[in-house]
Amino acid sequence: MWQYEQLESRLAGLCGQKEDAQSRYPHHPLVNELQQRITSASSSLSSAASADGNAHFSHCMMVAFNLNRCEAIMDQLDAEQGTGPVTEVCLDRRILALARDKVFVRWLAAQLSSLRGGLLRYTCRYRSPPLSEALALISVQRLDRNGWLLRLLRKLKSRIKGGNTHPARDQ
Amino acid sequence: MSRHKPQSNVEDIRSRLLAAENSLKVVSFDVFDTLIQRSLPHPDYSKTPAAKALLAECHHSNPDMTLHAVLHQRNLAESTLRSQAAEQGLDPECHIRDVFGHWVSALELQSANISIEELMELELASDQAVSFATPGMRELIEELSGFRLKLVFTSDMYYSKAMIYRLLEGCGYVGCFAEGYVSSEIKKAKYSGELFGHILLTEHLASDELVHIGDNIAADVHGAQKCGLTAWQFRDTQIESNHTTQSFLRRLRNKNPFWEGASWHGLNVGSTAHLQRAAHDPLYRISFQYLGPLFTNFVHRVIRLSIEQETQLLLFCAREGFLLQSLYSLILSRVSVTNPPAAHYAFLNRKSVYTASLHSIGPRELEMGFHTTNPTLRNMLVRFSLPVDELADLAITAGFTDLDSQLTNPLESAQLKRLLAKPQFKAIVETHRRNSSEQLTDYLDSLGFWQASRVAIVDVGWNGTVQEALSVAFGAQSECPEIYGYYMAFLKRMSSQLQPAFNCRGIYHDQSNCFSLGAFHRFVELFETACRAPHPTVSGFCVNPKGELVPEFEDIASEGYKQEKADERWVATVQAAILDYCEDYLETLPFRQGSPEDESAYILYQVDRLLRFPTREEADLLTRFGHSEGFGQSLVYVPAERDGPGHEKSTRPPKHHRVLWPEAEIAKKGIAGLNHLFNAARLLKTRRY
Repeated sequence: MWQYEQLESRLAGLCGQKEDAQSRYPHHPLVNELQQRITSASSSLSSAASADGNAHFSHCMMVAFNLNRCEAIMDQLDAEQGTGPVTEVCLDRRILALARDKVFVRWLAAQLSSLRGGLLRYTCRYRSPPLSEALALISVQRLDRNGWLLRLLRKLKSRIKGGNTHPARDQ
Repeated sequence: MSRHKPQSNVEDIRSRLLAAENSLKVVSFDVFDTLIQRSLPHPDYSKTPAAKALLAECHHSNPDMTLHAVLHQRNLAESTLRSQAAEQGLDPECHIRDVFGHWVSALELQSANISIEELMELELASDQAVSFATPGMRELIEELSGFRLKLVFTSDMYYSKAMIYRLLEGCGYVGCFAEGYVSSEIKKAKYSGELFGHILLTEHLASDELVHIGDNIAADVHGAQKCGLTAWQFRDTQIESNHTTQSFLRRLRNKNPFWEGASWHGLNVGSTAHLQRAAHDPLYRISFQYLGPLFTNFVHRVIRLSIEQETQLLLFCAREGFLLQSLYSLILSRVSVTNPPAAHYAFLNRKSVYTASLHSIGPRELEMGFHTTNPTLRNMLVRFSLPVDELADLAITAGFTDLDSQLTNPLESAQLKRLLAKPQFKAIVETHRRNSSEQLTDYLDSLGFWQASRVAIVDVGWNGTVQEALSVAFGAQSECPEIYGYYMAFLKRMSSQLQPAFNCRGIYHDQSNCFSLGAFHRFVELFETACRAPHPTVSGFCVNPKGELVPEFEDIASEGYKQEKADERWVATVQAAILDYCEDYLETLPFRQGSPEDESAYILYQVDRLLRFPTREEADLLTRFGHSEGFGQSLVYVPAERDGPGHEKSTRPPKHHRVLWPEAEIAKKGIAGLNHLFNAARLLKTRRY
């Protein structure tokens, strides 16, 4: 049977990658597509197992197509993480972990105090809950009209990647 | 609160409402173009599905009735009812039930199988399918629901209040509105101010306790101000830009049907999920925008053509048939067609059918065998799936020194004539032909080929070789069906083949009829790649251990297949975008008033632009593909190993190393206007645009 076993193992591998992608980018539109493609590939693979002749090949082709698209999505997600714009998906667990750190929170509060417009109002509204929750609620696309938050998050991200646990300790 | 008329987007409205929260009791929202948007070029298109249903009823008694005539009758019914209301001193508003009653009466249906209630349900369901919440508005309404404000909706519309509730719920506004005021039920309209007066009375409000928000300056702002209310005009730059474009296109469409396609194409009819994907993936976006409409339109036209020609079986040939058949299945799953032809993806290509057509080797066969960028005896034998090793000795006795020498004029080659005349050669060819013919007969039987009276080969193009080879192989047999061919483009590059009797149809470009709708035939490789199935080239058939006849594939270790594997992810992205476009197309299909044929011209115009004047990004993305037979600049060429005397490796590129898409290479240079110069030069040289 054409590539059937190979398709089966590729699907299993992609299921694992999907779980990881879902936790890293929970609201990314491509991750939603990833989920759909894997479901579709899984269903076609089951159909292929019970079909013969031309029908078997047709199902296998659909599996291969869906898996190829999944791999393309994973490539795209990796590319975005490396070079793409920072969006709300960057407020991931690592940044939230930083936000729980009191030193970091003081540093970030100092940064935020210099900001204008929508974000100030927004942070005021969420003053009562911890700042970590406020951060999680911030929608970058909605508030970041001037690009300052984007730059801030890029800076944070590069520092996290650079090995510093948080920027406050540099000072 | 002042009576100024601020123009606000969602964010501004939020700020104003938060600031005025304490002085307000009720906030009224307009529905259409404020709370919800529709993916239609114009609101009037929402009337099309019901009109199509009635047209089907009309055809029982009046086959000449047209969709436009049915729609005209509806507009007349609405006008009549509005006039009657005005004569009674009321605002000229009418209810959908009354409109449909008058409409059905005016059409004089002898026996309607569809009731007024069913028609109303159909219109609402269709409207729900293309309606979506205005970006940001649902979040605002949800936020306001937490305040002590009462939210109501107000609409000048022929729908009932209950129908508008359902429409809003379908867009996610579940339980958000405590009340709704609709002109069709109250018989009072917004633009006269009467409806706002009615709200103040019903809600027991002072005029400064109610604010109305809507997009229409006349009805929503001036109408509210007539009652002393504060009204804010909702304005969104993107929505207004879409409306301006659509109204411009509407004027153009009235003058020239070419713009019918543009109305749908320019609308961004994509679902939110698909548009979000496009925003993250440029290759997906380009494929969705240009290739999606092209392939969807082609397959839809094939369906219509096959029904018109009463074709019983469609064979989507390997490997381009993969995408085409997927589109075919998708369209048929959503479009109601009586007796559609059966369809199969068929592992038929030149290699798997040529051999069966080798009754003799004459000019036709030589042209087929040598119609390649590298015309050598070896390549000809491989093309016909003949045993190269077995025939090599015979070739040497006929005077060949090397099977890989190029034969520039095969018909005049003395060695070739001697080889073809050898009885042993003829015997080997005949044995292979018979074996291949038997296998092909069995395979075609599994597809229902012999049971059909008319079969059509469906492919992107280009020379109809599979169709021609099948006709030559089996055409003389009495049980062989008529074999038609439906191609995106029929280029007829080979002279001796395909007489008109072969029934070829190039839908966008037909060389045999000197008919062309664009320049896309100049870079056919793009379209071949976009359709390619995720399996290696088929080289023939074999019997598997279970005794089944199955396709045999090219060696996966070959250089060509390795290159194809490297492109598979991009190909899948292109195909996913095309299939997603098709889904969106099918969503809007009930609203489209023209036929797929009407939309072709604009779609090809778009593809024409892509091919002649690509942007740098388009050129970069679409030349990523490294097709094994040559693709753009990334042509894959693997020189044959030529060791020994007389076989020195040349440093010059081989003759067939050519750029297939020069416009892309020019675009990559980033010099403005260079492609226009290139196209002008090409026009002067070839004297044809």
